[in-house]
Amino acid sequence: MDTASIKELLAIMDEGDLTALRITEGDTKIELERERAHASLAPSNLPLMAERVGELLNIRDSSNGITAGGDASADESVIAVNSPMVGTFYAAPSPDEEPFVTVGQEVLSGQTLAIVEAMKMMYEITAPAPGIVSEILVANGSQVEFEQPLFRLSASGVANA
Amino acid sequence: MAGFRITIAGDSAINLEFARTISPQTSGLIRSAARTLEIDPIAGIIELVPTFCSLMITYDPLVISYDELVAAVTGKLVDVQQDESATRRIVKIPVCYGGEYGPDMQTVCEHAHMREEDVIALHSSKDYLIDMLGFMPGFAYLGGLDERLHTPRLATPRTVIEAGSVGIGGAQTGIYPLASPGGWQLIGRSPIRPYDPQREVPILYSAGDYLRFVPISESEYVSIEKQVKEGTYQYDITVEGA
Amino acid sequence: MGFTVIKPGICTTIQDDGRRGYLGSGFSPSGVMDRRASHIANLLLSNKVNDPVLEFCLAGPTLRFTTDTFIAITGGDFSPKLNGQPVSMYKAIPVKRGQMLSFGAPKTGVYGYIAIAGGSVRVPEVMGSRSTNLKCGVGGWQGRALQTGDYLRFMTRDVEFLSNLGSRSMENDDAFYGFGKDELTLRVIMGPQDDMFTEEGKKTFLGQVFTTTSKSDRMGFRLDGPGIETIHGSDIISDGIALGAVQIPSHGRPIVMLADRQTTGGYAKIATVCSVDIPKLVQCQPGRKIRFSMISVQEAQALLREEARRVASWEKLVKRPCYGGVSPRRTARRLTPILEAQAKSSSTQKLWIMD
Repeated sequence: MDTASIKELLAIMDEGDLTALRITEGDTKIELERERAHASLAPSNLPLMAERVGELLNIRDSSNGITAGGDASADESVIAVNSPMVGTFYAAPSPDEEPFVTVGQEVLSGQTLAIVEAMKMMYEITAPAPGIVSEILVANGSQVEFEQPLFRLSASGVANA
Repeated sequence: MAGFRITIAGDSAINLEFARTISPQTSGLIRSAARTLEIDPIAGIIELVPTFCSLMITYDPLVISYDELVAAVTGKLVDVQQDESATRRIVKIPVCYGGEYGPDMQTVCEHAHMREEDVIALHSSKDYLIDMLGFMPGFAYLGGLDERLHTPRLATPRTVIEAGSVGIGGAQTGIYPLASPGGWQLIGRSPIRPYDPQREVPILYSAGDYLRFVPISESEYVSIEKQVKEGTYQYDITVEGA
Repeated sequence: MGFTVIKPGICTTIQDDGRRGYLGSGFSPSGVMDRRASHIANLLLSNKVNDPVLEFCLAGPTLRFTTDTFIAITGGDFSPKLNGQPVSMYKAIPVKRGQMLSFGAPKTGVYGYIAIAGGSVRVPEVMGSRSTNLKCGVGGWQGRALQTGDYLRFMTRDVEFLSNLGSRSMENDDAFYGFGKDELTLRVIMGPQDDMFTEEGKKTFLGQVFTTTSKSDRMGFRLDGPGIETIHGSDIISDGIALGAVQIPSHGRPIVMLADRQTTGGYAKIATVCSVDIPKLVQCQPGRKIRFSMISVQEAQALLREEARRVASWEKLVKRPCYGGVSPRRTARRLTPILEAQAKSSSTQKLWIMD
């Protein structure tokens, strides 16, 4: 899938006023997710433009909010996503919505995985790199500690152009 | 001579309670008291917050102690009277009533058993005294809404009310200076900004001023909105009876 | 020249002592939650106590500095690190261009403060203050919390020297905040509507234990505990709300009103926390046990005057020429043999030894 096709997909999203678009084409799966309406103080809150999608597909960026770790296990392709603070773990944006991600789902770098809430502040937990959600380690609504592992992702190569 | 009771609000604030019920006379007294303290300031006083029945004074205890402040305030306000002068500062608020700007207009009309034209005429026919600003910057609590227009608040408040919305909540009417959740019945919207941090005077009016709603058409709304955005709009503020 | 935000934390804002003059217009004053911590951070760097600081809550930011300066970190302990190495709190710390400040495990408190030498960050004054009003989206850094990628400039760049560096440190303030103690006592002045409560209600308020909850933020701290009884209900005609006011709404549990509170409100206020104790409350993590104890307004103001004297003495302490860091005597002792050796090799030189 090339940049031109991605731009076309984004245009389709705009015209149809879609919040998410998931396309599978052969071996390639691509997910585009629009910024959510609720206020968020997390760094992942950036509008998705064609250039940004390109960046996300190309860059392994671990500078946006979580300790990503090869320290999780000897397997270097496992990425651990830990909680940056003490709080309550929420798997979905609100009680009556679908969870952000499910096991087996492919995620983009910067994609929202969950929210940890403390003192009425919402912290978006985002994927430090593209990958597949292999484990969700905590239950919705449970209390989490600082650095507690929340997700394991297995690093995947999301196909580039 | 006006009497007030002083109550203590911590180590850095006091309240001067003038009455137990809301009335234009009380608002006038409080306004007078605030003006007296502004014209001839007592060192150490930081803020004056006029509310329906009392005047809150915040102060710096390192400059003036509680006992010194009570003595100074009592002394200065011993003669405070209701503001006898007939001057009124009137701020005109252009409002486009009904339609998409006033989604609850029909509810209000039905509740009042009046036609829309009559509701608009009645709502915009008088100067409303600002008893107090609170809840959010520039949110004016207005006294004197005609009883016929009193309408209960929404059972389920809206999560977002657009800035500039004009509404009725129970016996009160007013304008929302910022987008906010709220339970008022919305009958119109104004293109002007009661609160603008970039403006030299960020908030257009104070307690003791009067607001008058002026009906405008949709095309006038759009035109004024543009002028406000460009900073060219001339606010209509008059002082009557000087 | 300033810092770049690598990670913003959860809610990191620029705050000073708050916005004055607009309370009567419905404008919350905002400002730091813990004025004691922010003032100490500033005075350690010889800033004005009211200079803006970074206030963060529960998770500290990661910042990369693009110029030399000095910083001071106070308030709750969130394990500050410079380039991965732990640094002390309550101390002026040199930071070099390129270094990264980050935070780790939360240990104590809720709000942390970072002050920057040379008059702090460069943000415009809005309505007389550099504090952030999050509700209105004005002031501080663009009216919002910091985000990744933000680049904030400092008032003074290339601060390579701060006089008497060795004096610019203090004991941490754990004793003041009561960290590690089971219960915290907050001293309150009764009123303005304490007459709306029954004797039983007042006894409950002053005698029972309350607990801080996570339903707390910059607007106010909600406490759990026994209900506090009123005579005729807690509705009042809306009046002004002072900082630290303890509101008791219809559910009977206290809410202490803080920096971002609404300026007016319609629920009875039984008491007001004294100014000196407000920092103790805001640094309580959820689940902390609190007791209220009554004092008079005169006593509360005496406490404020005492604290002002203490702050003045700290200001003198940090300006004291220090002997602990760079010791002239020790330096002289180390130089002496070197100079003597040189003198021996060149007899024409006169040697002056300072003692």
